[in-house]
Amino acid sequence: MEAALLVLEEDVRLMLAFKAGDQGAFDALFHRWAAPLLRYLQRMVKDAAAAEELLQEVFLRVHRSRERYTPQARFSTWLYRIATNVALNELRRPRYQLVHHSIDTEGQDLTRSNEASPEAAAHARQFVGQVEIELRRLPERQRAALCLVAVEGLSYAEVAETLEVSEQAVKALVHRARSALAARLPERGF
Amino acid sequence: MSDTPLVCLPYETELSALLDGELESPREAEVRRHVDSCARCRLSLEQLRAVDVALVGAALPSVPQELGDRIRSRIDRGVPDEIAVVSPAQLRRRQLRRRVVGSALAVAASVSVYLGVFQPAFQNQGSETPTLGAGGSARIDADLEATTDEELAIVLQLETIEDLDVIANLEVLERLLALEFVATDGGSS
Repeated sequence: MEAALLVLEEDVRLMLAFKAGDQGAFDALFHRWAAPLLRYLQRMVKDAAAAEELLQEVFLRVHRSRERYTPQARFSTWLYRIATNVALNELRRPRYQLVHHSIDTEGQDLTRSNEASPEAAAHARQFVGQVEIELRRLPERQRAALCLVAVEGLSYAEVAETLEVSEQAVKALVHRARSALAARLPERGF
Repeated sequence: MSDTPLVCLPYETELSALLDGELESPREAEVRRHVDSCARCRLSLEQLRAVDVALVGAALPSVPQELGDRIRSRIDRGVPDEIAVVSPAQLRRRQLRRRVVGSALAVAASVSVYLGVFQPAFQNQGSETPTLGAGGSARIDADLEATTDEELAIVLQLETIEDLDVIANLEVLERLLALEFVATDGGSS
C-alpha cells in the first residue's frame, strides 16, 4: 500500500497531527476507535471490566508510540496489532489460565443490550447472541484471526503480521474458527 | 462437516478464503464454479457467511464516559515513554528459553533419533552436535509442524538455546511448551 494513499486516510492524518502535538487529534482517535476496540477486546478476554482496562492500555501505548509512528501500514492494522498484543499478553497471565470463566453467562451479558428490539428481530438477535457465546469458546488465536478478518477487515497478510504467523496459518485459523462456529450453531433455517 | 463427500474436500478449506476475497484469480474462479455446482458447498458457504453477518451485526458496546477521562488522567500523570513492548511470540520464546536452561536435558541420548528425524533441516548432517545453517529456519519450522509431540520433545532436548530463536512459528512453540517435561522448571523428561 502506498504511503501517499495512507496519508489520505483520516486516521493517519489524525495520528500525524497528534504526533505533531495536537492533543485534540488523540481525543478524536479515541472517539473513533474506542467502541470497536472495546468490542474486540471483550471478545478476546471475555471479561467486560478487563476489556476496559486493556482499552486504556491500548491508548496509552498509542500515546507512548506517537514519536515513533510512521504511516507504513493502515492505521487500523497498526492499532489492532497493539490491541492483539495487549490482549494476548493479558491472556497469558495466570488468572486467565487458572480461573474458569462462566462463558455462557458473560456472553449473554454482552448481548443483553438488545432486549428492547422488536419481536420480529428476536430470532436474529438470538442467533447473534449464540454466535457471540460460541466465539468465546474458540482458542484465542482462532478468535483473534476471525475477528480481525471478518469484523475488522484486516487482510490475511495483516493478520499474519499481527499474530506473527504465516498467511497460510491465518487462512487455516480463520477457516477453523468459522467452520467451528457454523457447526456449533443451531439450524437457523438452513 | 464429517459427512462431506471426498470430492468437496479440496474446496472445503477454500470457502473461508473465498468469503474473505483472499483467493488468487484462477483458484477463485475454480472454487466459485464448484460452489455453483455443489449444493453442499453452497450451503456451507451460506452458513459461514451467516457467522460473519452475526459477528459484524453484534452491537458495538457503549464506552463508559469516564474511560476517556481515566486515560487522560493517566497521561497527565505522566506516561513513561518508550516502554519496551514485547510481543507474545517474543515472550513465549523467552519463557521457553528459561525453561530449557533450567531443565538440564539429556542431549546425547537422543542424537541418533534426532538426526534420523530432522537431518534435512541442518546443513552439517552427520555432525554429532548439529547446529542450524543459514536459511535453515524456514525448513525447521516446516519440519517441526509435521512432527508428533514425541518428536518435538526430542528436538527440544537437542536444540541449543540460540537455535530456539529460529522457531518463529508460535504454534510450534505452543506445542513445545505443552510438553509435560518442559512444564516443570529444573526437571527432566
